[in-house]
Amino acid sequence: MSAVIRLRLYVVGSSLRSTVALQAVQALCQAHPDRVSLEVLDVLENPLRADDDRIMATPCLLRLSPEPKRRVFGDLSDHAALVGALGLDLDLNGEGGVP
Amino acid sequence: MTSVRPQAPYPMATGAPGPRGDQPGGDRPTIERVDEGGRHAPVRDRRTAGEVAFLRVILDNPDGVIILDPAGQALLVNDAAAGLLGHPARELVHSDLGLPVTGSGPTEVELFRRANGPGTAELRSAPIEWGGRPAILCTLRDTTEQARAERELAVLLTLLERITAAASMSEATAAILGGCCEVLRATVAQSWFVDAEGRWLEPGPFWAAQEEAGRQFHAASLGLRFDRDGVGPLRQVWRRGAPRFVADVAAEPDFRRLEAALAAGLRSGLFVPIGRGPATLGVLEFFGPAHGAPTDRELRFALAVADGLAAAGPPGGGGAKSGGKAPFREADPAGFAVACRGYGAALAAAMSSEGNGDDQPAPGSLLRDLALQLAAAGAGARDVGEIHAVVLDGLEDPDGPAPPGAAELASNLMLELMGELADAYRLGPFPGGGR
Repeated sequence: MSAVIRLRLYVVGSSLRSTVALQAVQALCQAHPDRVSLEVLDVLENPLRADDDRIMATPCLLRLSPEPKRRVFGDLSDHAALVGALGLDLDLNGEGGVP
Repeated sequence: MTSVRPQAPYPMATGAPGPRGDQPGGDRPTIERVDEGGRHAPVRDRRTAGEVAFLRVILDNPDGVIILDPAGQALLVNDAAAGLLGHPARELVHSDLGLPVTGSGPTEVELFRRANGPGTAELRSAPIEWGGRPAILCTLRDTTEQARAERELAVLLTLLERITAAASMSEATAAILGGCCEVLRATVAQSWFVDAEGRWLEPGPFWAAQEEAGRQFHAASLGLRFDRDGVGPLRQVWRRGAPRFVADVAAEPDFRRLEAALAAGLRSGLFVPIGRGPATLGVLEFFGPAHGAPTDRELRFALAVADGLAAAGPPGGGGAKSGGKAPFREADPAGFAVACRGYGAALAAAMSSEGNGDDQPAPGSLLRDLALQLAAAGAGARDVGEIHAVVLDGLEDPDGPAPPGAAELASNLMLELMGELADAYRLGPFPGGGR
């Protein structure tokens, strides 16, 4: 069985961009509940962790494991682009589409 | 694909390209290199003049430009990008910034900067070849001010909704002071209304970010009695009929609440009349810790809110446009359509006068006429917001983009119309001619 993919999403407050990104990434995770775990952090509430992760622009999604670590930022609503950029081993064919 | 073949170590944003190949002494193009210690050292490399010119375009670009390798590690960061991200370029080069995902067009990102405060930027990206290898060109355009303006406009529309939904000016004022403080960077807001005899100022609602300190200052304010013209800055606000900003209340000779203000950490004050001239209905006071003077946009915001309050009616209620009256759009669809056309005509005139100065009627006179029509129909601030939204929607032509700058022009027009409507209801012609 493949290793669980650990993701960490940084958003800021409740901005529209953050909300859209959060919904899209949560939908991706819910489509693969056994494969993906997601941690969501607000940079305003977790500035030190954002510093530690060197977050400069949000929304930003980090692939923590498996190695290598990767990160993407910008428009996170396109699952195919997200999976490709992060190099995630996920089958998107069974998904119901981007919300 | 753009192809540039720099030699390692890659040039950094703080470097400036040397003379071009076609300049004296520039037969071999050079570029300044920054070493690990941040020292600058001109080095010779094998770039062609075209490649150096391309680098110059990147380094001198007012937009942030970052070149990333396919894993998201920064190969080059120009000064503008470093400034936007709030880190020196030398810290960013070779660090993992991540891969931009932009879909088919630009996308907005929020910038997280501990030192410079939050910001927003428009992100674009494209694949290129850099040093003979695949790379990603990423540009960031600072949209912080634009985003702030949009946010302020959204707040303004919300506040105007609250004003028109309220049954009295007092209720409306209570509903909007907190939102005003957010935009105006204030921590305490108070309101004063002229009494029925027009002799004294009666205290209205107040709002404080920090309740205890705010209450003490408010209590000190309530302990004083102000005549109709107010005191200190207020007196001047009354006479000028325009907002006044005081950077340091301690410098005001007759600011009678100074001790309480200092105890509450309040130094600056913005005083905004509700209405103007003889028909002034009251004053809004916004106090905060020391900060810079309000921007023109913030002043326009404050005026629009005050005008909305003036258009809502007297403090005790009974305003022509509030208290559950049906929206203009529902009550008179034909009149609403005419008003939208009038607003569209004013917008067209404003765009024309911004452009080539055709023989269009002045937008100001069109707005005044429109305000009179709206006043005759009993329309209010909320209706102005609806007209604005309808006309803006109409600008979004499915066959092409809206004309550049139209949205910003329309926002300014909306604020002007709000002021004209307040004048039409309460004041008649403004003494001294215009705002």
